[in-house]
Amino acid sequence: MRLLAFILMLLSFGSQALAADLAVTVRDARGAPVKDAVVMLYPASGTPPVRVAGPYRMAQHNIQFDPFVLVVPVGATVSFPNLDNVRHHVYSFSKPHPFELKLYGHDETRTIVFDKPGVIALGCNIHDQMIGFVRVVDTPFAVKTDANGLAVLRGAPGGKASVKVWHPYLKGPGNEIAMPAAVPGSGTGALTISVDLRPPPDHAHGY
Amino acid sequence: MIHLPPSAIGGLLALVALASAPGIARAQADIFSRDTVSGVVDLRLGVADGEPSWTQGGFGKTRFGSDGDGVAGRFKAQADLVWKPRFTWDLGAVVDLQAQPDQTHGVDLGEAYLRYKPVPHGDTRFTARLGLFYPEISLEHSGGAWIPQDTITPSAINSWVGEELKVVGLEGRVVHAFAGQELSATGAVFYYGDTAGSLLAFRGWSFSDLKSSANGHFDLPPLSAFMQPMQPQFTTPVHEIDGRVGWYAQLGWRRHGLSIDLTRYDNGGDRIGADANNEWAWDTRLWNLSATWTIDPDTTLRGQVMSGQSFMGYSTPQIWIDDSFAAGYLLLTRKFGADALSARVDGFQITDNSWQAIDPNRERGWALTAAWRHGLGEHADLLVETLHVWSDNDARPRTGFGARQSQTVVQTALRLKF
Ligand SMILES: [Cu+2]
Repeated sequence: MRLLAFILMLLSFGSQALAADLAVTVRDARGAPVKDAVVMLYPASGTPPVRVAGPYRMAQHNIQFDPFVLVVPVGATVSFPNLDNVRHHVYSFSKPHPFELKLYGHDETRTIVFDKPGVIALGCNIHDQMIGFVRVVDTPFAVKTDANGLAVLRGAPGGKASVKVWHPYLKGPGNEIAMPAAVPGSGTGALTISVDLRPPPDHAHGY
Repeated sequence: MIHLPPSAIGGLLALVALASAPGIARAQADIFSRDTVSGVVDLRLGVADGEPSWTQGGFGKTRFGSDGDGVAGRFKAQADLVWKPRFTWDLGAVVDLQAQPDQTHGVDLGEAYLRYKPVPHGDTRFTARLGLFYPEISLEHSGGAWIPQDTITPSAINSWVGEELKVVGLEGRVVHAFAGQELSATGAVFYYGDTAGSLLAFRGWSFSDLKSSANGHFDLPPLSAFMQPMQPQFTTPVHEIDGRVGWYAQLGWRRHGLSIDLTRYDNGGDRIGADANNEWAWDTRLWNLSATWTIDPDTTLRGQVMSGQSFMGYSTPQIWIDDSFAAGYLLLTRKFGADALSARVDGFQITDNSWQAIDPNRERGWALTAAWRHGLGEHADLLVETLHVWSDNDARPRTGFGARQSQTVVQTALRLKF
């Protein structure tokens, strides 16, 4: 009877009352940690609305995008500061939000509002080697992995959920994989996900 | 018909630059900022055995050579100054002013072209070039200075591209991206490619980072008695003789880790057209297949095969020069942090289809190259390279050497970049 009471108690708290963290580690086929993978969690009980906080920033620094991958919620305003002394011609023709920014250098900043979820692949028309990504997410539980391949999703409701992992070079449709996961009622759950990565793309030699 | 001497192209580009400076909104143009200028200085030490280099009147296949027995060392310094002005956000230019010893014009234009590159607004993008440039055949060269990336000496194929395939032309390219892949189609029409094939026929393949200069010429090894009345002892690599247009077309496919390009080139030469010096418009066509396989982020395997034919002169009854040429290489490069190790194997041959007895051009050979590139920070690279070439060339006995020769060259290059 005491067991039944305990189970009833658990059930009465419901999935909203219990929240926990889920520590997701992403590794490649050789077991090495994968950084810049975006881990997104969608609770089975329903995904709460995203929270737009910020500031969100995709800088151009030393002729590179910094960061390489930026995770932002739908509706975020992202600034594109040019920290170099040279000009950049930033563009994206990705379906969710094609745009073009002419950045003259010397701390010039432009902003873009990303109002649809998806992947925004960034390029620079002047520097072909500049590659970056904005991952616009529609869940408040989305974090990119650090150098150790670790992403901790905080405050997720306990219970069943779906976890998606996206990385620009991940093998799979949309460079993404999805899998079921369980978030514990309290404390920190752990999950290790193994992914297959392709080498970075070989670009048409340009001039 | 375009009959613009290549030397005029640089002046033309400068004019465009000056004209556009006040005309186009000042903010759009970036003509002379620090960002538009870069350069490479290459300080080279080479030690070689074997016969004298082709740059010194021999049939030696490399830029360094000896007197046949013994070892000779030599210091060379060369440089490239690259100017990349931007007239608008979409329209710019690339001008490479090169300084190379072993050239008749030690300082000259390397490349000089306008480039139009609008920002892509969809999966299909378009680029175009107009001026003096190399067709994009080499997988080894890169950058505005068009320098081999991981070795000092390019493969036989790309040494020849550097020597004889530069054109004055108009090139357009369409690249279409889909499902993580890219398809590209390139087409060009050109002039100033008339003498392509001369060095292959009269000297054979080479291993050399000499880049044809816009106005210079290359001296040839001793010609046969048959050929001497018909051909001067030099060839002008950027030269228009017959007023006919040449063309090339390229199809490319690339996806993660793999890229393949197929090129067809035809200089459209009128093989019986000659200039006042008796330089001939050669009729040279070729296929080139290039592939790059990125095995892992640090390991790349590159390879090219080329096959073509050259014709020059009248049929009396055989065509004076009628040869078939072929070459190929595989180049494996592995990066270790700031270091990269490269190993390359080359094979090459020329089949002589006319006048074999009195004007032999047949050749075959192979080469092994090993190179180490060490990054010295942002502004310098140190390269060390060993190159061994074996070749069998039927014209070589004219210089007193046996047809079959082998040669080893050890070079070190300090590349200073700014
Ligand atoms: Cu840029």
